[in-house]
Amino acid sequence: MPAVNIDIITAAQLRTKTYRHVFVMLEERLGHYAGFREAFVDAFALTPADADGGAPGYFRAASGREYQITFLSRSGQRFPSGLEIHALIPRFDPVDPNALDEDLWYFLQWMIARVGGEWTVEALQATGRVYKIPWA
Amino acid sequence: MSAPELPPHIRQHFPFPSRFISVNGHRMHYVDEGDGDPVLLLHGNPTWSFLYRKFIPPIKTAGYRVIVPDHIGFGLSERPAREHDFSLENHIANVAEFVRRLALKRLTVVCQDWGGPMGLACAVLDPGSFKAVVVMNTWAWPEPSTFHSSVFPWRMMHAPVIAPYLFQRRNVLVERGLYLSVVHRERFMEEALPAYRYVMPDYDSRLLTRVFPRLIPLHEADRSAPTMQWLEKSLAKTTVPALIVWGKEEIVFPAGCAQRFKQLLPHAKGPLWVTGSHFLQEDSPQEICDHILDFLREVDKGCRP
Repeated sequence: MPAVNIDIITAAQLRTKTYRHVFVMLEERLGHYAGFREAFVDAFALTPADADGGAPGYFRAASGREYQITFLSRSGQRFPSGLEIHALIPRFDPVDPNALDEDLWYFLQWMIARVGGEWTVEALQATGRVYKIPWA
Repeated sequence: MSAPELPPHIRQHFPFPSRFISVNGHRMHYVDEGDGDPVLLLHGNPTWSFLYRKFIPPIKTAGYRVIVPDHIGFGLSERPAREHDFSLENHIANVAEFVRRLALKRLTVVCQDWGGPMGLACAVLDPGSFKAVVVMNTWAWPEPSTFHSSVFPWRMMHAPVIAPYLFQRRNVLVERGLYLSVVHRERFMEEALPAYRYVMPDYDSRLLTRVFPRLIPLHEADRSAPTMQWLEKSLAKTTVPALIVWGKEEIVFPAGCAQRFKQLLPHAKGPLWVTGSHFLQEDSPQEICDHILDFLREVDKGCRP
């Protein structure tokens, strides 16, 4: 697993105490390719029972910003079928989208490293370089 | 319904009145210029009718009615907000309904990228309404191209969680993908990129740019595979006059795809090779129009089946 600065944390470990949720992005088809759903199931110890009122997941980026992952359920699909990511921003602070994107780029590397197989961090980084992602 | 006001730097390249029609409950934007037998120009991902701006005047001047819609989710058409709203079948049904609503007959469809499966499906669904088809840099079968089956960069781009980041937060298909898929890049950046960027200003507006890649079948079990299998079998039975035009620099659907169309449509004229990468309409508009008009003259004279 590469050294990417993403810490999976619990709600009790959140340092941001009074925050607002800032929508970051939505993935409606977590099962589009095999392995991605399983990576989140393993990392957040999800069970089918979590589809019925289970707790969200949280992570902290190297920047110190913290994020909530809401796991989504859809009839006919295995749980989680999708996810939403929200940044937890101190209640009235402004948001710098580029700063969030930098955090998320490292989160994507963390995710890809857990998916494994043909999905490599090197391929993600190379894709990022082709498409001019500043942190790739 | 009023036409949206495009800024002058876009309008100067796209001076055509906007029209709107409701198809299957969605608001579709289109351009409709000229009189005569209709020629329907279909774009793909992530473009809109602007892609055909240099096709409209010469085809109109040659005596045809030129019709250029924006697919639902693109350009100035409605943008449904959920990924599950979209399927290849819904897109085909939207174009088919558009053709029915406008009562188009003796129709020629010119198609590229996703415009191919949509336009060709409409032609085989309603062969009595179609006079000819022109295929450019597209496909009509369930097997993916090498480009589409590779993890780097294509499948990685639209992998779970990565897709909303790259396509919607970073808008990479418009900001970088288009640039990488044309030959005349400086001209593109100055003249065209602002128009593609203008209609994809924010996260929600870019949803379809990441939905379409996921509709490309890679395996038999993928959701669009049955429709692509049906399309290939249906096309093999058609005798509609056809022209194949292909970009010499195309990498998304390489030269073998043009040859596969020739096998599928052995009566087709071509392939005719023009300077052009995937978005060959940006690279060689006049040359392609010349080929289309030569072909239509032959069809109108009954020189082709």
